[in-house]
Amino acid sequence: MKGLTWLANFFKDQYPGILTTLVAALLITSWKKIVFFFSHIPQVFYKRGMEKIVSESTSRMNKAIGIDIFPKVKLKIVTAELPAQELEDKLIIFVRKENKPSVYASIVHQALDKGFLRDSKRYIDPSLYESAKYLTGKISITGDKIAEPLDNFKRDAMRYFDRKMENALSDANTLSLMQKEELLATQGFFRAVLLQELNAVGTRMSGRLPSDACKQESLKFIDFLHDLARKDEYNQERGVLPPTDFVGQYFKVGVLFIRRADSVGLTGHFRAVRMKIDQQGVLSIYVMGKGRHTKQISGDFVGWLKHIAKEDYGNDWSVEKVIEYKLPKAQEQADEVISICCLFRHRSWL
Amino acid sequence: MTRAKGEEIHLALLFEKQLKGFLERLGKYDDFAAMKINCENCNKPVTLDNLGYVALKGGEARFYCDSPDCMKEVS
Repeated sequence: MKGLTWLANFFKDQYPGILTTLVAALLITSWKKIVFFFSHIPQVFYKRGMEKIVSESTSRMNKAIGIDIFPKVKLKIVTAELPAQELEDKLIIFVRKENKPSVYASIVHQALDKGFLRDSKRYIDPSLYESAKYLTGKISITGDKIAEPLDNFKRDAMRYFDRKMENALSDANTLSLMQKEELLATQGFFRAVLLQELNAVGTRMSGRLPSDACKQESLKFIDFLHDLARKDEYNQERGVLPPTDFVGQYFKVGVLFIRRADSVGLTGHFRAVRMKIDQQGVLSIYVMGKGRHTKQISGDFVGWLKHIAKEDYGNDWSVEKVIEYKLPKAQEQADEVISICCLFRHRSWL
Repeated sequence: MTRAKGEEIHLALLFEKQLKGFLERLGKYDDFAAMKINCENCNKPVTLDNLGYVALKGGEARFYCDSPDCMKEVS
């Protein structure tokens, strides 16, 4: 206590000196940064503003998908004083007056080009890759509001982004896949499933040679999800509901929707999970629900999955992640709906 | 243009105000002003109005115009 009192008195008596020393130390160690800041104030604010916009849109996207589909973007201001070696191998984007949307679109485009599904690209169909890349950029820029009028900044950024993706937008195969994927996006979780699985196939196949068979199967997989996303139309066309399991050589996915759980209980859904594992041979199961079922899945269902993973399957299975997000307004007429997607996966399958 | 630590993309911003100093440092300002620098992809002269990207490779600067095709090539 005596020591503390002495310390408090010391700081009280000496604070002007301490403060001056701290400021001097700060100036000595950071003078270059301080000089740079004051001589480039507009550019520093521009860079920070741009980093904020990019960071907000990419983290929103990553959260909705449940994986870091978008890499982090770090920006640097080029000055005449900057050593050339610091710019070696970096792409330098020229910033014209008032062309913020163009710079933003360039950054999104470059980030996707360098980092989007980097390990999976060689294993999935090229048109599907381009389609997924375009949709990811588009949803990042528009902020999920596909059907809503965009503000001027987003509209201009989208225009520039479209120009950069001109080749993909001119290809009939890619366009057709974009249309399918847009439907998956309006349903929220289906696009998350697609990107989760495209990402996982790259991890699983690492070290193996890419094959046409895998690329072909990636196309069948998006068709499977597309059929689920338009299940009512599918039912009208074929008189049956679309299959909820896809078991190929490279993708082994089961999908389970929780509906009307209040009236019939979860028992039937539990049985469906066991069937998918024991009879269908899927190795990734996505349990999905929205609205009032969200709590039920994140609570009871996840608890039960953890229990059977330990008790019945010798910890070979695990709840890999639970993704909660909002369905876009375009899909729902009223407010955004909280949705959930739980991924239960066999440990050998990642 | 590299992806550092597997998680980050590093990009640089060149503002109009810094362009002259940057080009002078590279010894390219006179060529740029005389429109003697061409786009690496489409070979059109690169000017202040159509400059898109610059990439430094092995100390050598490569200039690209802002047409979509050339932006694609620089990727």
